[in-house]
Amino acid sequence: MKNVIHMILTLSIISALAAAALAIGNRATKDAIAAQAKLKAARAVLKIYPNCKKPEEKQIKTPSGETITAYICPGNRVGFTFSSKSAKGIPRPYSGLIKMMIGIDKSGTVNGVQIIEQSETPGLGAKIAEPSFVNQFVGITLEKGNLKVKKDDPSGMIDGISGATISSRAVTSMVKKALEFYKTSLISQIGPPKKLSSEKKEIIKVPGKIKKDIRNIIKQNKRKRKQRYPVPDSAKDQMIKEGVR
Amino acid sequence: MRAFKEFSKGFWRENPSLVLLLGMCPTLAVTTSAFNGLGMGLATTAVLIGSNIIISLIAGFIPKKVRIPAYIVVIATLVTLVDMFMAAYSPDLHSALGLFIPLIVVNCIILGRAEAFASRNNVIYSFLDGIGMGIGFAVTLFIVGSVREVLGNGTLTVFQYKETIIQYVIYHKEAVSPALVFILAPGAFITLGFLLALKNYIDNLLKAK
Repeated sequence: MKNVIHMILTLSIISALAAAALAIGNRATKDAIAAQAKLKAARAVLKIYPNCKKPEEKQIKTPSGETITAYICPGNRVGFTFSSKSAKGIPRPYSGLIKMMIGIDKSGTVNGVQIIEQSETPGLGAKIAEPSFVNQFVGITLEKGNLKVKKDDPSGMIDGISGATISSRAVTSMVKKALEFYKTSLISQIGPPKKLSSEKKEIIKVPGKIKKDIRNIIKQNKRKRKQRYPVPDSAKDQMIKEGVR
Repeated sequence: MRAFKEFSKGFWRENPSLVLLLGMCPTLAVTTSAFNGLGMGLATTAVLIGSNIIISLIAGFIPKKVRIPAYIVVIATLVTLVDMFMAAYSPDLHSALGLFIPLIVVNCIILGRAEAFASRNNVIYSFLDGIGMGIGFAVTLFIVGSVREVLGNGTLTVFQYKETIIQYVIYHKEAVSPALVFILAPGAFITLGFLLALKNYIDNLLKAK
């Protein structure tokens, strides 16, 4: 009896200490992890739209009811995160969840796809994050072409990754559902396109005197270059023959 | 010279993957590229050192009958903490290794060393045992990963962090089509089998001398 109590007590103490350590660890890292996730999403948008440094953020709802952030970029292009659980009918990935950032412009064309989160098999399914796979989706629309993996449908447009058909199929289906979601719901959720204030062009006015100086410096440099590399007479004759002036 | 013996035994004489045959799950599953193998090996080393130290300290207080659950709680806590801090402060490393970290909890090497070594030895020897075993494991995984990647994909990825990738193209896929089977599961068994045979062959040669 004494033994049993001893065992229970030891295990309880160890578990309690472990729980405390985890609670402290979680509290210490929670904010930083959330910030990193946001930074990751913003970086993915920047990869798809390199000029979109300050996107307008808007909370939207996916078909499955989760709230996600849409990043609205100039030119009425939208980047938003979409996961394998954001819509019904997406086949399950090989393991866990796949989360991607997809950029779609107002004509409903995919501008880019970036995989943000995945836990597919390293070396096989994890290749869905590589450019050679995701770049296949650039330029795709719902109407044009058959958005399917070639292995499932010979007329499909997407080359699956060998050894990772399940992962390739999941991403392809996610892109399709994201396009449908964009058309049916997202456009109405983000509202009419804002008129962009025309970008100000900065014109630097150069005073006349400085202009003159610059011209003189250029002229001098040209002269110097000629002196440094004098053209031999024989070459000059050749140039005249060939009509070079 | 016992300290050196405890440190170096993991390299060859008691190599965790090739002699103890522990931790087969990561050895077979993760080694699809050289860097994946190395990453898994290094993450395991870090946890192994930590768990060896903690367990050698608390082993005296734990009743024998509940030692395994106690060790597992300690290891799982350690792994989760490493995972959380890595995600918070080194997200690039986390995205490279993140996949392997939860796998470490079920890695037999860690529990095996806790049970067979750390619970019976003092902190310093346990620490050295953790480093030695970890390096032995990492190097073996790196070799298995290199063989599989070269034969199965034609490349050798030595390093991968942030945008930096050091990858050597051994041969071009267009010229010689790689043996995909080596990236898939059977290739892991084949590679490991041949490595085990090679290790035993070298041992026999040394013995004959």
